[in-house]
Amino acid sequence: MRLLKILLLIAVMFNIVACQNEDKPTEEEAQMALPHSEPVKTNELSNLDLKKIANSKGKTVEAVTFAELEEILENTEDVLLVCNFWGTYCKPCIEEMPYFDKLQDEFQDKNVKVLFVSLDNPKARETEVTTFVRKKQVRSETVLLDEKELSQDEWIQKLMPNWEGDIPATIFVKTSNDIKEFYAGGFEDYNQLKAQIIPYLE
Amino acid sequence: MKTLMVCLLLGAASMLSFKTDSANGYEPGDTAIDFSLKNATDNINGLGKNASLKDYKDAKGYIVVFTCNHCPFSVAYEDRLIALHNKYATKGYPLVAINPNDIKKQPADSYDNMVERAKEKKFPFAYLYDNTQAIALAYGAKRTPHVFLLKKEGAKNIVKFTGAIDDNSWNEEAVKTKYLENALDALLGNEPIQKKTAKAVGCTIKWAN
Repeated sequence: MRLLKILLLIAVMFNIVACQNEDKPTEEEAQMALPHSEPVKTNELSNLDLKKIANSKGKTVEAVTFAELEEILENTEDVLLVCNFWGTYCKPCIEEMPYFDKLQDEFQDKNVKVLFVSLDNPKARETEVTTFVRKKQVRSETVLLDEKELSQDEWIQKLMPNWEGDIPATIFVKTSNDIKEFYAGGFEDYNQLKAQIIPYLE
Repeated sequence: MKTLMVCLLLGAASMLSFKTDSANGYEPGDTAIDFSLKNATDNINGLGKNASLKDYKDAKGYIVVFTCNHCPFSVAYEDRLIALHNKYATKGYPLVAINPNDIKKQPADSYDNMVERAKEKKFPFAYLYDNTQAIALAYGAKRTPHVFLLKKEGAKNIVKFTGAIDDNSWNEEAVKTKYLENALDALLGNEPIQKKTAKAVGCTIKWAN
């Protein structure tokens, strides 16, 4: 349930940013507009489910801190969260992204959720990364990790001590079943990715 | 029933195990092999000639960096690599850059493109092409950039530090800890290295199939 809350929060932030972008307000206007738009957004989002907020098409990619990401990963409960680390510059990452979108489509009724975590330069979040996600019509939820407190060495160590920091890399998590499996490297095709999650669904 | 329990436990244990495909590479204390690789710069033996660690007669050790042309993390570190070489080559630790990527998978990392990039950036260090990827495999390089700091001890090159250059890939001005420089300064001062390995996000090495 906490996961849902966090994702809802992310979705709210997405929507606010998306609205701001449409109207192109000045920074001052945007700040002023925030308190007024919040209650409306909350009402609109109250009926959202995992399936709906899984769609990141057309939204601005939001930033998350490592603590926020950790919170999501530690509380997936009965959702099998497939958390994929990628970057717009990473060719093998881009190649495998459609497999993850397809996986979410095929297994959404089995409580499978995909989260793309971009490790691009945080400066490129609202520009290159968002443009990429829109252009490629990435459907799964996409966030960018913007961690300022911990160094990469520190957060990699906390997240997966046996990961060397090379992407693509994927973590499969289902906290209700104590599943936390790390997969270094890319998936050759959809079937290879699908085969990876089958054992976790039983 | 007992068997079933054991099976279940084993199953649960295997679910919990973290899988990586990492063939173990060098760790601090290991002996690193030398190599002979084609140089994309005219530093050391000249452009197009092979270069080896043993060619650096006066070196006390080497900063071996697996890097490449295309990876944004590598690009972000180019100026820092130049500064590192300029600072430490005269103290006995020249930097040797090696591009290990398969050019079928990443054409931007071809030898010709290496030559071009080295010229553009006026690399003061050797930029070598690991065309068979054997050296990256032997060292256990996982990403670009990935550092292996070596110290000559008799006829051997001993690994003293592995991993990241510093703690901020994207923003040099925001760097708080310079892992590699700290290790180098410790070596030069005959002091123990406090942090012998550091991780960072990087581009995965493009291995040939």
